[in-house]
Amino acid sequence: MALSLKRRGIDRVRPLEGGYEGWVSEGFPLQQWVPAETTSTSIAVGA
Amino acid sequence: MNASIEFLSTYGPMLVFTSVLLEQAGVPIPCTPWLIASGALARLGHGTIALPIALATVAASLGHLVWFFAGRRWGSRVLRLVCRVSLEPDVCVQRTENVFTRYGARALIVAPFIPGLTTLAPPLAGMSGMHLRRYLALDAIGDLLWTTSFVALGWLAGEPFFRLVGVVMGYAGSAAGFFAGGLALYLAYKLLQRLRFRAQLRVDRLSAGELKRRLDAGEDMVLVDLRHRREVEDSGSTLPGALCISPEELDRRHKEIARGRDVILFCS
Repeated sequence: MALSLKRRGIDRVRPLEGGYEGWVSEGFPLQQWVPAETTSTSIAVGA
Repeated sequence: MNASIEFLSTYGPMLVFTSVLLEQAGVPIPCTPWLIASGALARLGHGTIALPIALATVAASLGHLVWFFAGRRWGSRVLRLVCRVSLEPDVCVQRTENVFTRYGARALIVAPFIPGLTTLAPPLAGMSGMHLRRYLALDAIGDLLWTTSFVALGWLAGEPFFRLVGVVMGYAGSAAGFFAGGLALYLAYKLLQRLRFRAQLRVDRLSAGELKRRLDAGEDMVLVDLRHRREVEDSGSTLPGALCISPEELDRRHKEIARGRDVILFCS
């Protein structure tokens, strides 16, 4: 995916180590995902 | 030619069953030549086309069933394992998920005809929670169509198939050498390209802690959640301020990603 973005001119690309699960396992905050992507609410998960 | 016909008459059914079972289970050995040969053999009056079709359909279904249960048990880890042999594993996983998103369960019917997808479709069906009976029916239809097409091809070719095999075997040495050399060069180039890019990404990787610190410091960056739509729905959440763009949406939505800023990508 990173390669694919670089081909589209987005070159300052950095992958997040551990991805979503890595972020969650650190207990950092998440944002609720809403299907329509119209509104979002910040929620704290373990932090 | 008579020797090969005699050999196939004796061992053909076993070769068809074993090669199809292994190939459809993911072992990279060719099975289609045996399917075509069994059809050609039937045309010459040695056996019927029904036996190789039945054997190959059962073998393919058994080979797929292993992956179906593996997908059901271990989820996306199985897909990644299967895709590990691909030069672009991430693309491989996403492409398969996209085919399923687009065609649904019908993808199982066409999967045997698409190289690579035949091994990936069963675990994905298992992951999606498809009912076993429905899976078996759709997979069997696909397998039956696939085996019948190759056996029928051999039946249509008949005796000329065996003559062609003899001619090909005569040139096999030089042609195979040329083909193998070209393929080896191409694979080496792709592998080198991939290794270099992965090495660069490894260096550029950002830890969750570092990202949190930078977000807290108010740094201007773009977070892109590349998980598949279904995964995002299942988790119900994403990182603060992240854009959720699944890989199949990338062509349409990549302009939403601001240029000139650090773009942090993440998947599951």
